[in-house]
Amino acid sequence: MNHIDTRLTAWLGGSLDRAAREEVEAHCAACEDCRRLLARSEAAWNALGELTAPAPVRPAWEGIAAALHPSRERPGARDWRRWSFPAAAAAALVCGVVLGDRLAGEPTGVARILTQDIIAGTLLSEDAASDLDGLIATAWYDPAQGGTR
Amino acid sequence: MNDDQLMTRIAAGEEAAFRLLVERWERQVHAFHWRMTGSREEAEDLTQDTFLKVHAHAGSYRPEGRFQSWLFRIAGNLARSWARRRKIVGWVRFDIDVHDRAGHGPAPDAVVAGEQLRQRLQRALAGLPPRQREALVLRRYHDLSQRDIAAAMGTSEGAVESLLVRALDTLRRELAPEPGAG
Repeated sequence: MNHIDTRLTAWLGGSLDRAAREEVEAHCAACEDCRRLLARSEAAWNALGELTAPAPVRPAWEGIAAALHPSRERPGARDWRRWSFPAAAAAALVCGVVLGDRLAGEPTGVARILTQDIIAGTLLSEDAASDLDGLIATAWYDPAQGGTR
Repeated sequence: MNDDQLMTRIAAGEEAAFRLLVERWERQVHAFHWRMTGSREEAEDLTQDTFLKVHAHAGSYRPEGRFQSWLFRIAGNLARSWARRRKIVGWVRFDIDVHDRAGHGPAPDAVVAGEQLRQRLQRALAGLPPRQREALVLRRYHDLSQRDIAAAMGTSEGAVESLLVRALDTLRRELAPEPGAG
């Protein structure tokens, strides 16, 4: 029989049949290298049994169902985690651009275009920027002129 | 109903079958991703992504009784993509949480010793090259055969055994008693 390398983890996992186990045992009795390999591997293998995984906090189905049916979706923890920082950054940039534009007092569409670019770039979605177009238009509402700039 | 039968129904659009499959496998998939990423939150996100891919590709699944290796092939691909996105070596940063310990009072020595061993194991596992870690996790914790691991990882059975032997050898060195320790 060859060395036990090809049967090592099958041995450790207890998946060898009786005949194969006896072959490994017979080989190890005569081969010191394999005997030592088996002993040290067994120690590591058994220690790994101590590393139990935590259970998921939320049932996976909640997020999956929301992804399958976006229309029924309500904001979930995952979305919050994924988008909170980029969204906050986008909001801060938008506010800065709007405020700067207003303080400068120059009626320009540059800030509006820039804002859309910021949102599209941050959220990585042209659709998102398009959806927010109404929101941006509201931000540009100019009471003095009775409409958006 | 076995997994192949569920997959056939999922491919036909039966959401109840999909939910049953998710609930059957989610703990295993979550545990796999936790051991691959070291993060509970990442594991939850990747678990969700894994099942969404299962759903999306249900039509291409061939019901030959090899669902588990097909599932872990998807999970492994996602874990490796996750690692590539981070583009760092040694990308696992295990959350040092004590999810199995109850209470916060003084811990008995045995609990402390157990926790120290767990942390050493977490660090040792995290230090393995990703493919060695993936092969070892699938073999040790999910009881996949070399053949199924080879199918899941897109490699040969011989290569899997080699990955496993190297992983165990590294772990043995990492877990050896520290010099001067009792």
